[in-house]
Amino acid sequence: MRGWKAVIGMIGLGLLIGAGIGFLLGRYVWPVRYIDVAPAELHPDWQSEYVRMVAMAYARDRDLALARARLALLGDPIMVLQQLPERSPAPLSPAARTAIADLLRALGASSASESSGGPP
Amino acid sequence: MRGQRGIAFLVGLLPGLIGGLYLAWEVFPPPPGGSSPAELALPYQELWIVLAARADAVERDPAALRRRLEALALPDLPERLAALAERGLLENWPSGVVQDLARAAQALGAHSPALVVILATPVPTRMPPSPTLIPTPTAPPTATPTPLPSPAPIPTPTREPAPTSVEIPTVTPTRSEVPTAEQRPLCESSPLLRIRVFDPDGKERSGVRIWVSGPRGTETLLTGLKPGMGDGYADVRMEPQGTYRLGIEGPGPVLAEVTAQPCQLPHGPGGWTGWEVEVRLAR
Repeated sequence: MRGWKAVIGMIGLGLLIGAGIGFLLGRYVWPVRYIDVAPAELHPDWQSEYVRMVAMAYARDRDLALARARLALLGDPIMVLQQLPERSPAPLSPAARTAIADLLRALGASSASESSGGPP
Repeated sequence: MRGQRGIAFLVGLLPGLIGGLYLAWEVFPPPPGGSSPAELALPYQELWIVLAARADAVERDPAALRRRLEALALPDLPERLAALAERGLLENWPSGVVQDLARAAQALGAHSPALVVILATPVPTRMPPSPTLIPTPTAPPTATPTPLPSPAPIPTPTREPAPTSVEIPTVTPTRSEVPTAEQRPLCESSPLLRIRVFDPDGKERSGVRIWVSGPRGTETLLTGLKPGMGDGYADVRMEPQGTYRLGIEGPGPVLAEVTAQPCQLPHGPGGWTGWEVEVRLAR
């Protein structure tokens, strides 16, 4: 009887240790990878890189609707741009800084004109 | 007794391991939000490439361009950029976007005659707004545990039956100052674009580089590499429904544009039009 108890105890111990090792392996050694993600699921560092690129693309084509749509993939375009300097892991280049300021100004102006042009 | 305990421990350990992996992958997976650009869906990867190329045109920082694009972890990055530039050209994207892509592809070491042509084309001062370049959000991201290998499809060998010449030839008007081309469709089960290059005296010419642009991008062919077929011969396999343009390497004109369209084989099921294009070089 004591022998059986010991065997069952060892099975239980194996289960616990196995589950622990399995969990650690699944979390850290072979973690889940998300594939086919949208920009909103990027790491914050890459999100800020994305925002910079959108601003510089705007500096190139001056297409505000397109820039707004691209930023909207991350959330509210103005908020996203305003938060960029604090989120950015690398210092912004002068060209990026100018582009972001330009785009922010254009977005602000357009949303102000939209709100003033709307019904009271 | 000691051996029995060891076996009992192992009997518990194995299902424990499986259960632990299940918990980590399915029950408590890490929240999304830490992905890298390599995990973006394909349309967003293309958007990323376009943005990186556009940003580089403003910033002129090759290191930043490389860092942004290498984050996509694409094995054939320069070729992908070149292919995207060529696709932009075919789909009439704004020329500024296409040129920025071509410039970025060149900066990463891509070489193709189509890139030379794109970069030599002047950009209009006022560019039309970009048509789409914003992918529409589709399905939510899929979580995949990394260790599982995905099975690769096994290619099936295809036989290449003799082509049957059927339809009426389409002829491009000929002039001796520029290279000219004459094209003839052939109905076959596996369409091939066959090119023969002749010198102005009508002799087949080997060693002529020809660029062919199609759905898989642009490739350069050299005539005469299949001596049994003639000195001026080169060929490329066509994708069904694929449209192909070809020209002599260099900033010359497009000499022919052909499409593999459905056709009826004389004996058997439907086939596709392969093409025979004869190019006559200028004096």
